[in-house]
Amino acid sequence: MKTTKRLLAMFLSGTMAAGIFGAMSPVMAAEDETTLRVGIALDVLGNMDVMITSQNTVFQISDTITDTLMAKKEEDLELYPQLLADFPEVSEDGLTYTCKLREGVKFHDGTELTADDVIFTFNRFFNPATESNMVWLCDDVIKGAYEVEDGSATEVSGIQKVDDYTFTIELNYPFSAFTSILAASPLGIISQEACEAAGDAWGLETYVGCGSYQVESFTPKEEIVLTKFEDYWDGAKTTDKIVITNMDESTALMEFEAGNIDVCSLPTSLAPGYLNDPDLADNVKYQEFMGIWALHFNMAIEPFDNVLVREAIAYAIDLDSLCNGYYEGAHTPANSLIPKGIPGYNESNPVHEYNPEKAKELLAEAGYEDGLTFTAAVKNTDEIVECFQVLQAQLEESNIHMELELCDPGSWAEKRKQDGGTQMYMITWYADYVDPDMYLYLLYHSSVSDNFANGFSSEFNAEDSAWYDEQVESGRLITDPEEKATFYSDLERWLTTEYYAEVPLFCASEYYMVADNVEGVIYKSDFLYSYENAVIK
Amino acid sequence: MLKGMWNRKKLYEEAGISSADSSSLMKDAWKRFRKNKAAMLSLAVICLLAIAAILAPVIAPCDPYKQDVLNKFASPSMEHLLGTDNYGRDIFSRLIYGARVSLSVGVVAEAIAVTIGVIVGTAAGYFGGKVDTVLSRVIEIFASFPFILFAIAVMFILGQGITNVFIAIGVIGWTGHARLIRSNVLQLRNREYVEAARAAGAGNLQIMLRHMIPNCLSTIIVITTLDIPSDIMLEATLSFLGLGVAPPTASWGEMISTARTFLRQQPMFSIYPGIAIMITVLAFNTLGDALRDALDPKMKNR
Repeated sequence: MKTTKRLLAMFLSGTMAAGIFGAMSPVMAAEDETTLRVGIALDVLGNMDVMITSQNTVFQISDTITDTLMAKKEEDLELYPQLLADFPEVSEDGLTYTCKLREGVKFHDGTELTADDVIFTFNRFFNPATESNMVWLCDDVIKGAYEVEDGSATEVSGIQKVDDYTFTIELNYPFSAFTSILAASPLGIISQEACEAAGDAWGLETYVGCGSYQVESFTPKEEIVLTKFEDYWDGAKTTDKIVITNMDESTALMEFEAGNIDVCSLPTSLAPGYLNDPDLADNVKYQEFMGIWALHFNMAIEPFDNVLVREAIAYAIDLDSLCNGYYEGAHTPANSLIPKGIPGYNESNPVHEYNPEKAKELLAEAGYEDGLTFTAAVKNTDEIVECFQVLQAQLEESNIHMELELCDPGSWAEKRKQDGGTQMYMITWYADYVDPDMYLYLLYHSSVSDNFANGFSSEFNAEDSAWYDEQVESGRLITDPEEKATFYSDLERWLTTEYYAEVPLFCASEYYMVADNVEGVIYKSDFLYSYENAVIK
Repeated sequence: MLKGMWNRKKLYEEAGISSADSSSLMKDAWKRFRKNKAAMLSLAVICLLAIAAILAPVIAPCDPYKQDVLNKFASPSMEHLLGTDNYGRDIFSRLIYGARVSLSVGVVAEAIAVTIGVIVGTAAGYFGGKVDTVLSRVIEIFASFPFILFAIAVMFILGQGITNVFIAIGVIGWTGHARLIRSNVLQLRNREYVEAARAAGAGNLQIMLRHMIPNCLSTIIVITTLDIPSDIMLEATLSFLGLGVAPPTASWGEMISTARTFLRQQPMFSIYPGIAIMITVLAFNTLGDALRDALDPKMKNR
């Protein structure tokens, strides 16, 4: 009996050990091959198809595989033509964009990039059967996109082929930031031939673009192996392989320390421990993003339908203590909803004052003399829950009781919708295109009101909403950079310090770890890692 | 005269025996229990925990919810006996408040489980036949769900919060009780005194309430005590998974969950609540074992 038990114990520990080592074994590379090994959470990478997601992880991997018409420079996100030979030629009235493609660009399957592939990509993007996640990026801008979405057309009428390398895009109105939308990850150009041939296997077994790396193997949510594309139009890259393996943050950090991976993220709350470690401090990198964390009020329902209550919350939050105390200076207190680096950001804006007495006065004025209780819908990720817990304790000082309802990302996204019934939530919003429109239009225009519970729609707040729609729509037409900056800066002040539609908390930033022998991997300020220029020494 | 049979006390008096002379089951048990040193120690630990939990606001040196973000991960000091957590909150005070959650889960959730278990078990055992078949299948269905998965599902539907933790754990934990009570009642229901009671005109409800359940009492006490630790563990598990109590409520499981991220910076942060859970669970387990030995000496000698 005892021997059996012992045998069983040995067997169990043996299998456990095998399981651990099996999971940990880094991908063995051939001697002469250079491999960049990345450990990140891949639970969102069920499919490589970038159109059906809004997740940054998928974006950054897809960006390595596909190229976009325009692209953003790694360092400063300045726009440059990637697959286009030059910036698009814009007609006098700002409505027609004439684009010329580079010639001789090859897809991974060997076919050549033509205007047909571009048109196919756009048609597929708007096709309801694709179930694209981010059509709102440009469906109101590109002529004929709505018709494809509602099924009355199969091709976007606004995009026309001129010859194999030339096409035109017609807009509904002269949107001045349109060029930057062409750089958005979901519009990565894909091979028509490969996509049509793949059918349902597209994104699961096949994913063909003309980017610098091609897919070697893909296991959904577990691992993706990319090999360099020798025929890349801009010359083949240096590193032979990129292996991205699914790991949660703490596992990734352990693997990094063990030398099994080269790149991983470092949660802000853990950064001090690594920065103080002389062996690892040099590996810690820091990036400030063009992104903002902000509390959003559902202004359609109580108590935040009252501007006094919203103002009270702004006074009750101590951004200095949050950023310089809790985050130890890793994040900068926000003084605008538009993050630094984007036109319309005004450096001279003050950070909102912290004044619990004023908050209590405002609450009393609003009829909440005995304190206020409300519930916030909280996306259940460590960093967001931590932030909310700090805010919760701060609000308590002003006699405001914030209850936290923790939800998984899926149910949070449902709650965040206007009919989800949440009173408050936090948005973490990163620039998909570098323009204030990304913040002021996409979060508050009535056409997106279904996605964000803020009450800016004709149903709840017809007057203010109509006025605001008019503002952001007219902002899209401004072409003069200075005029544009002033316009958006003023509108932002109105939204956050007069109307108090939300409370911007801080500009997001993040730490990440890169191994000593790796260069060229950068966490870009649009919240996407760039792996393709990695050099392994 | 027949009616008098029901009242044992009266019967004794009539026979001229003082009831004080008799040695009741409970008294015998207490005598045996007192001899067991480990049992007495665990009882003392549990009493201490209970006092700490009830008097938490008086005992705790600091406000467990008061953050001091400039004083994160402070080392133990006179001000903060066990140091501070990642928000600068006093760990010792949070441990004491955590005892409230753990013990109340142990008591309330177990009370729910015992209530359901006793009702279903007694009914199944006493009535037998079709009632038994149906109830037994219900027990089996509930028992066939994986414990933790079922709890997670219930919490998912109800949402976070301590009341929901009570319900989730209570609703799951009753099947074992029901089975034991059922088998106990099956043995009891054909005893002569039950037949006598029935002959005397006692109704089903009366027999169940006055003969079946009191006779199962020792079983109920033992399984309750032995089950409390697993309830406490389950709460800790749920809170660890982020499905238990809602923040900022302090619970040992939640503390371990938070501390797990900071093992590098402050390893003791996760060890303190771990020790607290360990001590509590061990105390309840020892107590349960001792109670079983005391209440059912035949078992021990077997």
